[in-house]
Amino acid sequence: MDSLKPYDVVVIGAGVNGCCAAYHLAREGYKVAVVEKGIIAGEASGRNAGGVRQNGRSRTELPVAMNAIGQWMRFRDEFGGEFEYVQKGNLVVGYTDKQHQDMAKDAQRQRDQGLEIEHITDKKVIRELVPALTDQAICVNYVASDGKAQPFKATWFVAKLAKQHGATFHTFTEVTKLVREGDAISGVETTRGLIPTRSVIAASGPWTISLLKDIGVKLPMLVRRTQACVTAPMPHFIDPWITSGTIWVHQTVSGNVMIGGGGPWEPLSFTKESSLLSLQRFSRRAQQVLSGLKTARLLRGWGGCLDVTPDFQLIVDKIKGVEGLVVSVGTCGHGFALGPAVGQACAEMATGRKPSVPVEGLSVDRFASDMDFETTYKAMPEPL
Amino acid sequence: MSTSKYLSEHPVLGPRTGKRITFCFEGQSYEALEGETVAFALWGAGVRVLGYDERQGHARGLSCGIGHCYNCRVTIDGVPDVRSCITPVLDGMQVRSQKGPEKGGQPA
Amino acid sequence: MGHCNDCVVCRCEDVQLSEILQAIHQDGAVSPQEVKMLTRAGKGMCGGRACGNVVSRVVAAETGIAVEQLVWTRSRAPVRPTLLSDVADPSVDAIFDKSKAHVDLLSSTLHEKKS
Repeated sequence: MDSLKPYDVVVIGAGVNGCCAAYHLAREGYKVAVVEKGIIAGEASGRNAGGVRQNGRSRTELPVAMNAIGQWMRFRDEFGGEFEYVQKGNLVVGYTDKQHQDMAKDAQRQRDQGLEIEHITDKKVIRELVPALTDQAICVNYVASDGKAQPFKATWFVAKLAKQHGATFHTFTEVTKLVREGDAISGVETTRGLIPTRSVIAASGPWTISLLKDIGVKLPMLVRRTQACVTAPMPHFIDPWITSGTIWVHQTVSGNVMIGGGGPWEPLSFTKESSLLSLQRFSRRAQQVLSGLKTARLLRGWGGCLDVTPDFQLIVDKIKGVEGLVVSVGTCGHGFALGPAVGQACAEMATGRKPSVPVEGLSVDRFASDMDFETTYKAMPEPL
Repeated sequence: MSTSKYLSEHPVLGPRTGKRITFCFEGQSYEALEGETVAFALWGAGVRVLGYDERQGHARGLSCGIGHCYNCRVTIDGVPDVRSCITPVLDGMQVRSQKGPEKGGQPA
Repeated sequence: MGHCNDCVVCRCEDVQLSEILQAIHQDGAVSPQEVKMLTRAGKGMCGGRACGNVVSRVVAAETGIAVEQLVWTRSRAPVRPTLLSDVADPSVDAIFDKSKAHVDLLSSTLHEKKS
């Protein structure tokens, strides 16, 4: 195999994690190459709905999200990034007494972690936040500083920053193998040749599973489809992002209402096609959650491949026993917003430093080493 | 009432016959023959602007004429985004331009 | 190319040729998909029917990539913008309610903590 020039760090995957890691590395002067099998943000990072939220994050992921929000605001306000990032709030909606109790507790937990979050039961206030929310809602958890962006453009903006600082992007180049010499990484084999390096950040979503398996590293991760759809543009009538049960809804700056949400009924495969069943579900649920959609027209649906972990949280860690291998995977469909913080942690870990972002709780060894996620998951009864 | 300026007798297809009906576009009454499309009836009455682009406010009108491009979209009897080029006129139909969100449209 | 920079390529989303050229020459787009995501050309009501071919040909002309190698998005449901109420099917409620138990079971069984 032809040998290409070496780099201090090679990042696998030009999704939001990879591009953010490359940016943080390049701005510190490291020689970094991002190797991407397709286009920048071609997979989950460009297909997700663009939620930039702190609301409802787990105890471990919330501080990461809070850090990331600050970085997104910086990208937008200081560096002039234009990626439709608006902060019009995020609402989680509750319909039953049990949800109300759980949500009040969860709001307090998040408040204790430093997040400004409101648990609202006053229907008049709820109506002011979202006039179109149907009367069945009895409470909401609301974070005003949350919002959304166009994730493809956002990732491309960070990639542009990375390039301006000297990062190299090899797109349409697939990593075929990590080269492991004993207990250390010595390079990355690609469809264009071998790239020598002693430090790799594997940020290639579910495609990381097989790459790591080939060198004897087994991560508890599965690939699973998720889906979304949009309506034709409508007059603007929804401000915040709304999460209700297993769907989320929001209206983009272009006026399209976007609806989506995945779950265990989705196949464990690399398919990205829409299913009629999900389009029916989105159309049905959205009308139960919101009024004002009677004349909304479904325009198109699409899918993406998620990398799912047993506790639906990321894995951001150095791989033990393999010197020079950092992973940031397992975004489970809610990772776009976390990119800048996760990318920074990876950049630091890949260059021999302790991460300045609190990612200790996202380590691989929070899972039992003999856990067989795939067998356990597949042994579950069929959900549908 | 605006009447159609179309030929009453087509050189190849012969006389245009059919029940005369009326419909409304942007508050004004127009005449049509039953079976004609909304866009065709409006064209015959000299109407070229069917709506306004939701983003920049440019005037929109008939484009492909075959139900393909959605440039001819209008709101008919309260239902938006109907392709006027392939929708037959019905007696008493209420057709409105779509002026886009910035021009005061409301979701139903 | 360049003598028609303000001509509208995507009528649905009002995208001019100049924006497509910018996506290619300034942002580095080399595929119709990237142009679509950066400019919104092809994201409109007609589903890219009117502009898709033109976008692909512009990318080919500007990058030198053979137009046959460029992929425009394939057709998918819904073929036409369809009222949500025509797509929605009440029978799906029962199907997805069953899955909630599955989600709960999954969370409790698989969330193994190291002792």
